[in-house]
Amino acid sequence: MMRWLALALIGVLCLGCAERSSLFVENLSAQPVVVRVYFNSFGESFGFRVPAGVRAWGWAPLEGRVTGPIAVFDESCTIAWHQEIPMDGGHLKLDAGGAIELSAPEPPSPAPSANAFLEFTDVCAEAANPRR
Amino acid sequence: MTGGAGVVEPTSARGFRAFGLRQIVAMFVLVFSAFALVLFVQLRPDYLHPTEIGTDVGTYFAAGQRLVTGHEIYTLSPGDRPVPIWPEFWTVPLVGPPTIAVLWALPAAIFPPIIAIYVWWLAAFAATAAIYVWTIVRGHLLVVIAAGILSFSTIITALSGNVNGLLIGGLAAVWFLTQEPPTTRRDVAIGFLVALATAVKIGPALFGIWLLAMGRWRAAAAAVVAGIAIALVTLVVAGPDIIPTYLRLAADTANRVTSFSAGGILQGLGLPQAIVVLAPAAVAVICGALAIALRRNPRAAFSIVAVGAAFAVPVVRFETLSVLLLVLIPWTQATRPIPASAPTVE
Repeated sequence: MMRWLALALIGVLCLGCAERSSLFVENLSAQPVVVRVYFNSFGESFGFRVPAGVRAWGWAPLEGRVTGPIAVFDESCTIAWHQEIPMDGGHLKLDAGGAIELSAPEPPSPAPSANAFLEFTDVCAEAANPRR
Repeated sequence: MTGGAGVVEPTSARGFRAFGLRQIVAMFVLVFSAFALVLFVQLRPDYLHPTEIGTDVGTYFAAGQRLVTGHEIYTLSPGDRPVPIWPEFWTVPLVGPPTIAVLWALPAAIFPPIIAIYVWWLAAFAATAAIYVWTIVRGHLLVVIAAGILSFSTIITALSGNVNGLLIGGLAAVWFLTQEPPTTRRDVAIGFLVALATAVKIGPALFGIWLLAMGRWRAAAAAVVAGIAIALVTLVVAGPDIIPTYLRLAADTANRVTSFSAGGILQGLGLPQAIVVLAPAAVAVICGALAIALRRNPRAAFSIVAVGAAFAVPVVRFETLSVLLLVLIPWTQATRPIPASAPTVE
């Protein structure tokens, strides 16, 4: 019995190690944006206010994957870009010219406390899930 | 079963006859439910990954984590585990009373998320599945059909790990415990279960009225004492401001009715918002009054308060309908008069 419990525990922990995600956002453009991440195909989402020139974590590496999609809105909640987000999150970069790119997630920082976190926001939460 | 002149029928013949319409329907519902379960998992593979950001269990864990880190329970602060909102229905990362955050504070503090989340998810799945299967196996034909109608919402509740799954198990246990001869220990257990369910979802407070209507004074008193204790622990752990904050948010949520809720149904009929907002309270009052009126019929009274517990809230989603399994529980076993509280020797 104990052996089975131990195996189950190891299995769950291994699964947990595989189920990690993070989102790092870099806004090098001159405009503030709102980044929203959706939950499946539903209207549920959470979002971050990303001022111009800011580099910060949406969420640092944690146990829990993400199902996307991810969308970037301007201040008037007009959708500027959207894409399916990989389950392990990503590194979202808005360059000075306004181009948007989502790449592989940032490796965990050796000093996460030194990194800033983005503020959550409800802005643009009423916008439809781009997948719908 | 014996035939005429005391002749005993062969076992095989009895078995064949016993396998009647009820058993056939029950088997069909179970097989159908198993297929539906597989279909749901294929459509939403994330159901098998309750640690994903946005799941119900992840939402509870995140609430406990915010409490541990000294952040607001009902607001997301930078660095918190993300929790989605849906402005049409809710705008805060936790919709229910703060008790669920307090319940999760300890697991969030001492266990890795993967352990805490999966243990809860498995417990909620097991509780929901056990009650669903019990209802089908032990109910008469109409009960089996009703359970079958609730199959989709029950499967979603089971897979999502929603707290409703544990409430279904806990409140079904209240029924089963009241069917046994009353003892102090049983009454305390009944009272604690009703108090905890109420502290997590409010609506189950109606089961306290049921206890009173049944004359289970000691169990009702235990519920009151346990309720006060849970409220005090919540106030100490979450801070005294948490109650007014929750009440303000609950008032805001009352304006966001869903189509399955009593308010949503009234809204669909074109009634003014002032009446729609009062619908959950009206459901609670009506069901409480009916339970008292039906006090001589414990099963019917229990079913009525179960309906009230499901609908005395503004937000009733499709999966919330699984709580109606509790309506069926009293009809799954032979009637036995409920004994009133009486001093017993442990």
